[in-house]
Amino acid sequence: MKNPFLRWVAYLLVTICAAFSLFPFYWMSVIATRSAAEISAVPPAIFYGNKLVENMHKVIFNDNINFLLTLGNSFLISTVITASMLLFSSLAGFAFARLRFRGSRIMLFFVLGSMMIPLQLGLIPQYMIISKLNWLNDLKAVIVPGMVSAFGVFFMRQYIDAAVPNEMLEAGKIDGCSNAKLYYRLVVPTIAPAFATLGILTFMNSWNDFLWPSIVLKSNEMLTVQLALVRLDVNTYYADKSLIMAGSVLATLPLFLIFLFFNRQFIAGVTEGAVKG
Amino acid sequence: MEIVPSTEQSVRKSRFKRRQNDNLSGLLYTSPFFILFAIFGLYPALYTIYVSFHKWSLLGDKEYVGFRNYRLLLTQDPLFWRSIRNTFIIWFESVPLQLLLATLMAVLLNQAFLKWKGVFRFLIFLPNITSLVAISLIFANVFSVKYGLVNYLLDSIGLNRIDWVVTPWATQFAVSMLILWRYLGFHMIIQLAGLQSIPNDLYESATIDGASKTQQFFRITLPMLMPTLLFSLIIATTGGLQIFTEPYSFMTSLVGTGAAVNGGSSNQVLTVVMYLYKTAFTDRSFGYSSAIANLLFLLIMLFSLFNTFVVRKLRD
Repeated sequence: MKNPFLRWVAYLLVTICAAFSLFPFYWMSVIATRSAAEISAVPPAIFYGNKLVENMHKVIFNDNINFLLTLGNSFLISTVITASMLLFSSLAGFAFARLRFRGSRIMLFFVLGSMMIPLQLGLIPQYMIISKLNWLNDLKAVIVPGMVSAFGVFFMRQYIDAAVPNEMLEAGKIDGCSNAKLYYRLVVPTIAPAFATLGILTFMNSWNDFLWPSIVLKSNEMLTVQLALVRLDVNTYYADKSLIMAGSVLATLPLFLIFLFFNRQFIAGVTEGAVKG
Repeated sequence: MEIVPSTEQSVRKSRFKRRQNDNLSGLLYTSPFFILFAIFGLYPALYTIYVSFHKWSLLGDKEYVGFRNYRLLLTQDPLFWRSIRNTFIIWFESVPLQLLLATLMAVLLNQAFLKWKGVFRFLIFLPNITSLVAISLIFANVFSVKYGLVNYLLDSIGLNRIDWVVTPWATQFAVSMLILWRYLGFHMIIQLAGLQSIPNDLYESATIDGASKTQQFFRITLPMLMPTLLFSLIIATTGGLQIFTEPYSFMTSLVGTGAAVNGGSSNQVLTVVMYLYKTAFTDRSFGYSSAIANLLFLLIMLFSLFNTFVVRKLRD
């Protein structure tokens, strides 16, 4: 685009959109630095206040919730889910993309079809299974169902199909590599961007999941950080939303850092994997 | 002469072994998915179909009622139709504009002259990584009737304040804005990926042939972007028809947990999945709730097929 006016318009549009996206974050951090009284004022407080330390203190040493413990729970759940998702999805994706085995076509069709079934529609029977297994109020109830997904398997199949050349694997086979060896010597090193992309998406989703954990985790020691957030203001004299916002800042920070760190690989993975299918 | 058949035989033998190996590894590598899916996906889905033909409150016995749940839903339950209408209203107020904006942003961020691409991309994707609890509280705060920023701004430019909690269209609009805002970045990234997979030589030869930028956009970019747009559309449709957490937690922040289940004072943001949730976990009518689940599944299938069909037509 050579026309300077059009360039100016382009910058204006992206800036508006970015500001629109950033604003609620800004708002969140503003409320986190304010007292409950200041939030309910007319006109609303638009700039930072000086109550951040006080609010953070109230969050971390909350009478009702051990906030750091719930952060730890979320970390444990998301890490285990992400690790197993990456392992199982890439193994299955490798099998579907590069191994010729009986029933593979119909099985892949099954994987695709299962993406159409909205999982939360089976909430009731899922809850019954968890209670039969005696996993209620146990982090396993959140971890195990999330360990691998149809989306993960399909995403990895698409990526491996596009990024791992057949000739490379054939050469490995001639050298006498078993399939397991092909997987960790040749496939795993080639698909790093896919690991970053699927890893971030999985970590993000399990970190932010609310509905399912709220059904199976009930006691205060077993909460995820998302469930803890809405209980932060329970014991305050009047519902103090600034505590929830201060807690939200703490709960969003880990994702923010992870995303900032893996931003480049994440985009590369989306470009290779999601589109070529 | 004798060596040839024997090597051929050994090749065949090793090939046979290879195939056996592949059969075994294939089953082994895919089994974690299929085992978990059987337990937490397929079995619940089949069970939901079974339960939908019964009257069941979780405590007592199941009573077989045939198609009664479905008949009641389709002919005598205005709230069910209301929830379908709400779902579509929210969808139409958020998704088309969202996809349009996402594509526009992707096209702009794909321009060579634009600087700080990474920063813009990061900022626009940011809403996707925040927790919904925080987001719904922020939106509830911004749209709060007395102390909210939106009403304050309306006031200061001399317009009437809007009661975002009880005015049906206003609540729907607020929820739609939340959804538009949250997933814009996600769709933008998908479209950006689509744009980057279009081979550059197409544009080069078009430039040599004297095609203008506008012509190139409509003749090359848009048609080549169709598969990615379809991908976004299908995700936005299947996701949009199942919208639950956004309106539910927004209403929870506005009016509290007890009232949120109803989706507002006149059920204005009661979506299909919220109605399903309400019938199951508040009213304890699991058979009825399962029937809603199955009707919704049919609706989703129907729309996915319809989407595919429309895009095929557009491409031809």
